[in-house]
Amino acid sequence: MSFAYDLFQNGDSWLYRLDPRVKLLASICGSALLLSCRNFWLVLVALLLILAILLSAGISRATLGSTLRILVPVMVMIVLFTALFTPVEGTRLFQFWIVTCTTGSLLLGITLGLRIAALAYVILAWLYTTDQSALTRSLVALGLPHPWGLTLAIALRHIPLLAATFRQISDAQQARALELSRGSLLHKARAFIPITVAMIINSLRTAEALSRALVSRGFGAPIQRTIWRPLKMRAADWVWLAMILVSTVVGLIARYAFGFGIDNWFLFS
Amino acid sequence: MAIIQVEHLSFAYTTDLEPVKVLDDINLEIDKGEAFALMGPTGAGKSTLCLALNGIIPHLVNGTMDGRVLVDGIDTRDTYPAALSQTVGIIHQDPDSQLFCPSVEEEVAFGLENAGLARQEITERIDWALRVVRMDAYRKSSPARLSGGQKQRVAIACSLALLPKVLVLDEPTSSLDPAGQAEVYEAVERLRRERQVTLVLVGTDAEHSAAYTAHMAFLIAGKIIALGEPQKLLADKQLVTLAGVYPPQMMELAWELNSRCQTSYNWLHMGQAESDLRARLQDPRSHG
Repeated sequence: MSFAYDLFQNGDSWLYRLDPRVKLLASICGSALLLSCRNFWLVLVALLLILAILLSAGISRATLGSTLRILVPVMVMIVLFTALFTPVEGTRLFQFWIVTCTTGSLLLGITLGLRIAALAYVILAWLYTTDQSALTRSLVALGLPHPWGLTLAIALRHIPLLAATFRQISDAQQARALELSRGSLLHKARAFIPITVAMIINSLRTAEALSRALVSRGFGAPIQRTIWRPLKMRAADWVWLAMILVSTVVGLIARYAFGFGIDNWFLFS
Repeated sequence: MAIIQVEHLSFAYTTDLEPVKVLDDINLEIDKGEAFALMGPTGAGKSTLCLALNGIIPHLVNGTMDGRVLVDGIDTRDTYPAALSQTVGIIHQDPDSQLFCPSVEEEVAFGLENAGLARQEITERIDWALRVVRMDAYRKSSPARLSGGQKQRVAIACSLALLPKVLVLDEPTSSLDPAGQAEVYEAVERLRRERQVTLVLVGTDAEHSAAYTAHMAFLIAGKIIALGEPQKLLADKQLVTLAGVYPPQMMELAWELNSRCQTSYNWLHMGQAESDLRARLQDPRSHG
């Protein structure tokens, strides 16, 4: 099995050079601001801004596109469910049985759909540009015990590996006449059972091999661990940290003290 | 002087149904600085024996262990495998499952950080280990993007940097092409010569290991059925076939000639065959 699948994208731009702790904080603050906002225009600007940041950091359009392909079904579901089942004032577009769709509920659905994409890219900005060891070091530097930090970093790194393994097993099973595209929903659900079983076995084997490799290289030895390349904050990191904190505080005050970004359409309610 | 002593080692995996006995009363001694080959078919218990050498068995695998394993005088039952990492290095079959860091140098640094070494010493050991396995040009590369042979050499460098006294290689070349196999065997043999590292080479194919090792054992169904010099063991076609071992190509040629021409050739490599055949051409009465 190959470990080539990784969220981390090789690069050496300004975002890569930023301290991983600052990037983690930026992701947390960005997520908090996004979650506090439900204004269409603000969410749209936030999404475009994060995409611009990622492109300027050298993340390829293909990478951003492949992530978007994964996000689109989730976004569509959010738009549909919100538009159909969340009553919001506005011009009635249609009504069927207990379902009423208004311009307000549709706008809210679109906003929430865009917001989930923006949230994903805000977190991926950290994962795309931070390699595993920096990820672990940043989590440990923020107070997480090293085994937890390493476990979390490896787990995050292996999410795409699991997706790739799923595809690989699915292709192999379909080559052996497993039918996934036809039949009722129940039939399709049943057809996924052999894939899921094979995937669980595969994942357990990988986890076992990885744990043996870790232990064989002294992981968990009763010795005080050293860090070969400890993280160091540079002047640019402090500047970014200050900007992120100030923007977050200003954004949250504007939202909760002045109602900025509460309304779906107008910036001030 | 023996650096590895395996005394009456038996091991049975615990399962939901009934225990599965994999090793049965194994006795083995391997000298310091020696290259030793453990050969046998799939399912013979070779990998289980490897795991017992660095303490993963009995500490991390469910099962019942009898007997004991001493490595450099340390009883593996009393020492956790992580603490044994500077005594026994183990290279597993699949290099992908051993490499998880973003760059080759960080991969090597991982074990050294766990050993609590100073930063300067970590840097020096990384430089040295990557030079030994001839991977210093790839130190910034991602392990995921290396070839199979290169990955295996990085895995060796990771163990090597910890300066273990014993290096166990569990089928290290099973997924490699012939060039990759030669790379790995040359690297470990150089280590043995230059650093007096004891090597335990495990596998089913004796093509390379027979040329590099002083002693060889055949393991079948958890029992050692033969132990001795590779030249003597591999000459016995019946035994080799029974053990499910792939002999060196030169040995197969010797068997064929012996059966057709009533000769008694015994070759592990081309050099031996060449000198015997030259002698035969000069004096047709030699070897029979």
